[in-house]
Amino acid sequence: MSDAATPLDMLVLECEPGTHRLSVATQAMRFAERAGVSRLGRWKLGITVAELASNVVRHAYAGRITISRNDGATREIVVTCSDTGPGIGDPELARRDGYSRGRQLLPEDPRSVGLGAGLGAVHRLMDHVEIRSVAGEGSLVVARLRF
Amino acid sequence: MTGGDELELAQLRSEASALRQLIDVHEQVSLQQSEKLEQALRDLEARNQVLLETENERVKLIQRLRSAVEELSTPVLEVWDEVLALPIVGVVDTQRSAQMTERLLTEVVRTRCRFVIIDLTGVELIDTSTADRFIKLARSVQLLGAECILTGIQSAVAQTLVELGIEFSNVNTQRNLKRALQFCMRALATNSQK
Repeated sequence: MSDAATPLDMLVLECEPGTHRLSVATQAMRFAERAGVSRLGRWKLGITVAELASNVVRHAYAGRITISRNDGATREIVVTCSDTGPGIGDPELARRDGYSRGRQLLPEDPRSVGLGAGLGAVHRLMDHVEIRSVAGEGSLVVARLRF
Repeated sequence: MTGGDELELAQLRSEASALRQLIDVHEQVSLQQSEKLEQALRDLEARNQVLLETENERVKLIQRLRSAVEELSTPVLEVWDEVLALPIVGVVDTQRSAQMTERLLTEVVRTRCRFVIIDLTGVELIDTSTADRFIKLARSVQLLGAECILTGIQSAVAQTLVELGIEFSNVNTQRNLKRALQFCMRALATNSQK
């Protein structure tokens, strides 16, 4: 019996340290291929999932990404990424390139803090992105791609 | 003692001996059972040991295969005098990109090449992190006095690369390996004429 809240056609990807962002992305791309998404759309989705997965592991330790298709008025692939991490302080700032943890990254920052480009890329690649976050409780990113 | 008491005593005795017998039987049974259990435990331990050994062998095999795949997956080819080519197939993760960089830079120094062609035809996915690694790889190659040329970027890749927010403008790009090689040969020819 499937939970009413989880449609059958949904891919759930758990992310935790050691989860490889590219393997998660590849699974998402395969899901999209089955759903009939174009090659360009699959790449957009793959990059989005890779960025979200690496963010989740980097900032929140662990989280969950779901991929589902929405066959409503506009056909779209919906990606959600939820975690119980520290939250995204200022989502507007977070989507700017070169920003991470609420500040602009400097050349001397170690590579391990990231590039600060992930969420910016997600905004540019997807058709609609919504970020909900509560400090200290976690974040939810919902990204939609029409196909 | 009365006859009735004797009778009772005899009955109690026989009951006691019956009980003793029962206990003996019970003890024997439990002894046998515990022996069986011990045997089963020994069997399990032995099987566990075998499984552990197989598992260890498998882990070793996987490690061997992985290193073989790594060797094979990042070949650095000398395609022309002073021109190296690095065809990339599949997914480029952190570990692989570090190995790739190390191998390529070693080869650049060893062969004293002028050009390095990085062919991305078979690459599976380029996200911001992977793109950043390619840019850094190209910069390292430049620091060693060679030039990096990216080729084989497919349309979907090109369309997403521009959205990544990683600056690719400093890297020479050519349509495919053939064009890149032509470019290198022309550049080498003009240089030798000077």
